[in-house]
Amino acid sequence: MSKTAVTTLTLLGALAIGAGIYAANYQHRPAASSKPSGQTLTVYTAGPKPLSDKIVSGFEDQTGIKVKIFDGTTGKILSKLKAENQNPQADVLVLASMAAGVDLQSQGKLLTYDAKGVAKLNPRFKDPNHQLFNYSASAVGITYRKQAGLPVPEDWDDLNQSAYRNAVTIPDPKSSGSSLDFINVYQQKHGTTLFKKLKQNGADIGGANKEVLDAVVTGQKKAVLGGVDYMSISAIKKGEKIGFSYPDSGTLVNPRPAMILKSSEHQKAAKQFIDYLLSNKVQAQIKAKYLIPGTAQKLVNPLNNDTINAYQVDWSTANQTLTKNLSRFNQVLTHA
Amino acid sequence: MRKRHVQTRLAAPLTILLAILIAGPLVALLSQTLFGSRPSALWQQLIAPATLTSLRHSLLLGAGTIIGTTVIATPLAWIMTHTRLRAYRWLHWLLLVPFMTPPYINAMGWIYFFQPHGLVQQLLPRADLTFKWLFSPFGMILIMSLHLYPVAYLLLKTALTQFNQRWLDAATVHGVPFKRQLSKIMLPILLVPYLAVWVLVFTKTLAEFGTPATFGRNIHFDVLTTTIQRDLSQWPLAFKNGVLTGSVLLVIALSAWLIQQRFLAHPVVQLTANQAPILYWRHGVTGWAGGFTALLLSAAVGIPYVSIITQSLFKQRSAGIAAGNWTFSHYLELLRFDSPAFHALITTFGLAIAISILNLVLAVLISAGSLSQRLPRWISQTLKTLGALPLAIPNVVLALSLMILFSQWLAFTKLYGSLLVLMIADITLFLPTSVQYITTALQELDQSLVASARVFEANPWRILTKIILPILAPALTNSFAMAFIATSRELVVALLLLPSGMTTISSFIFQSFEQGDASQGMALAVVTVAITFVIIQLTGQLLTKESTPRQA
Repeated sequence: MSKTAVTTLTLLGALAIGAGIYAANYQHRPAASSKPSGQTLTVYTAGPKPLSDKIVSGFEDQTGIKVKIFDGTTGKILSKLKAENQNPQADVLVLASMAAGVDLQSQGKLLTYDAKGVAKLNPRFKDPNHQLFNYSASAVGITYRKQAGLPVPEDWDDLNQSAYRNAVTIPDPKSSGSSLDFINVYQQKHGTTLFKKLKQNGADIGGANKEVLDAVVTGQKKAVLGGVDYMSISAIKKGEKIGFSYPDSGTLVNPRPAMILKSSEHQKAAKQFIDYLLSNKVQAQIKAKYLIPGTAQKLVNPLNNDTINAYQVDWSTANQTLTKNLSRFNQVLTHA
Repeated sequence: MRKRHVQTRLAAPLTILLAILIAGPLVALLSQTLFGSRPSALWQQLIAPATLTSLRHSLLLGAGTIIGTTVIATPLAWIMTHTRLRAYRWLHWLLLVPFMTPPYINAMGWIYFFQPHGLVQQLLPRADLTFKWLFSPFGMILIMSLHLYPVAYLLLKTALTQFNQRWLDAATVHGVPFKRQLSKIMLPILLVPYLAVWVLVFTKTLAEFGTPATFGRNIHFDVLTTTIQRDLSQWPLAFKNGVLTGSVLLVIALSAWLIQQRFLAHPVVQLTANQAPILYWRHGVTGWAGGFTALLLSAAVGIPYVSIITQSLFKQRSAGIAAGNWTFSHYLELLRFDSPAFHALITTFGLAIAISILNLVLAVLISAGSLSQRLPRWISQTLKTLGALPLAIPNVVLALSLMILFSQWLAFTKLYGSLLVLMIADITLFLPTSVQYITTALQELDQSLVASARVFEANPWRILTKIILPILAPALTNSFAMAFIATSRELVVALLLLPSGMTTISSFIFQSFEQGDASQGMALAVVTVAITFVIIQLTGQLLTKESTPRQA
């Protein structure tokens, strides 16, 4: 028998053992959480996957309800929702863009629920209509490479310096819900001057949040403008040589809304899931992943506990200006 | 007579069902485009700058890649048929590795290698090495050519092996000058395979998603496939635009396919009595051939793999190449049985096995039906077309069409969002390859063997298992392996059609770049390619073992 054959057999053997153990685990699990419910809740979630996995398995253990989860960016989730319009599958959505949530709300697709936990939420995260449950939030800011000769950027304008020429990237608002909200709200407050200057300094639009962060981590770019905080901060805590700053002049703290669809056939389970998201246990898990818990009374930088200077946002106006500001942004950055 | 009736009665519904599943989605897509919006609005959308730009980019990429693959594959096919190097089977397999690599991983490898602070700059810290020329449409064509050349190489190699040296010898004996030999003998014979290569490479480039989605995004080079995927999955959605772009892509791909079908219909030059090509034994030739192959392999396999493997071994990717920055933890993570990556591995291989088996069964039915003399002509003709048509459907278009068909037209079946739609897509996509293998095998099946078996052996089951199956075995194994590999690395269909709660290897890797841990994605990619390589090797060995004694 040749060497390859031996290697193959070993590999296949290892795979078979793995599959066996996996199958055994898999069949074991429902028996362990002995509360029979037979229900399956379908949750579409945007956001850090380790966190959503943790939340879901905690929820399954506590309630015995099985959860099917679809991970994607805000855009992917909304697109899936649209494609399934005639045969809705999702019960609960968790998005990374408040504007997208408000959009669904204005279309009348959301269920009203008087969740108990809402009282504990930070007032700026409360929805008077009881449809959007902002169980967590993330801020955007500046991620930069720590290297000799590169000034630490403290405000948006600092990225217009020559040290950052051709080295700044902005997460694509079409892939990233938080970036979309940021460029919209920023333009509402300050217009397009910043983006025009950035374009002159050679900035360009990158991919999703993780991709632009990756570009800075591997040194392809020197800074991300408008990337989400928790991803960069967890990379910093892992020891990557990058820094993150919350701009002095203010930034967007973007609530990440969870919501129940009216079309849901498992509303009871869905309500339980919302309650679970607002529970102390999940709120602590959120903090541990460097996101801002919805119940946090003060918005602080997880790196040094300084207060974040957050914009005040009226989300229903923001929903109306969205398309216009997005196309202005794309125009400024894609055309010379 | 009665038997024939029964066969027709069985074959007709099957044919109609297949027609609905394969052609139905395309009809849905085209009518959605034509009737979904007013003609004037449609025209406006069609001539919108964004649509035209991605169309131009797609065509440019297609043309460039045709040139690139031809330039690479022509000498390579010659080397692997006419020099000493052809004796090395492992080299043949190694040359196919670029095609087994998921294209998005391949492209990421190139980016990590040449980007600012990439591998090259870390090893050779010089400011003037910026590789601006690579981060351009030219670089993209280069990467695509280095990824797709195996397709061209395989076809050209077969053509050159079948090329009968005696034709040229006869011409030389009769004093025909080399130029005329070239224009009157070589070109006419080689034209058909080259055309087949060009059309295949063109369609594959048009349908390619991975490289444009990674490298293309980096240099802001949108093509049709990425435009469609973006329109369908990014917010605010542009569903109508995606549908239109899908139709445009489908029309181009279909035209290319029709052209190819016309050329294939031409009478092929019958090559009598195969004779092994002459070998060029001289050391100079071997040296040149070795040099070329080594250079090609170091670019097409070396660059992406060196960079992916180093990236997957870094502790901190910002630190780069440094002592103490190495770790196997990303690989060990994969071996944990409850890790999401491991789940993805199991799901993918399970799916791939199921899909390949179904694919094989359908391919056998289609091939047998299209060759059968006993079925009505319309059935065998339809089956023949259905078996070849999916070759012309780019993955992303098929996924989009199935989305429309099942989410709107067949919404009442409640099948949308289930695994079935994904399986239909994958089976359809990889049908033509299997049909081709099996049809060829069936055509070569000596009817007299079956006839004599009928005389001496009454039991049809024994005829099937003892005679027909063993003869068809190589073709069956081959198509199973190809379908398995193709299914396990399929990306864009998985991105658009995968039901909630499931992850496959390719969607896991893609998501790890978008949302998760890129190092782990790359570790998984390395493991997947290793497994793929082993499976191909194994099939290759099974084939040589099975076919040698029987052909003798």
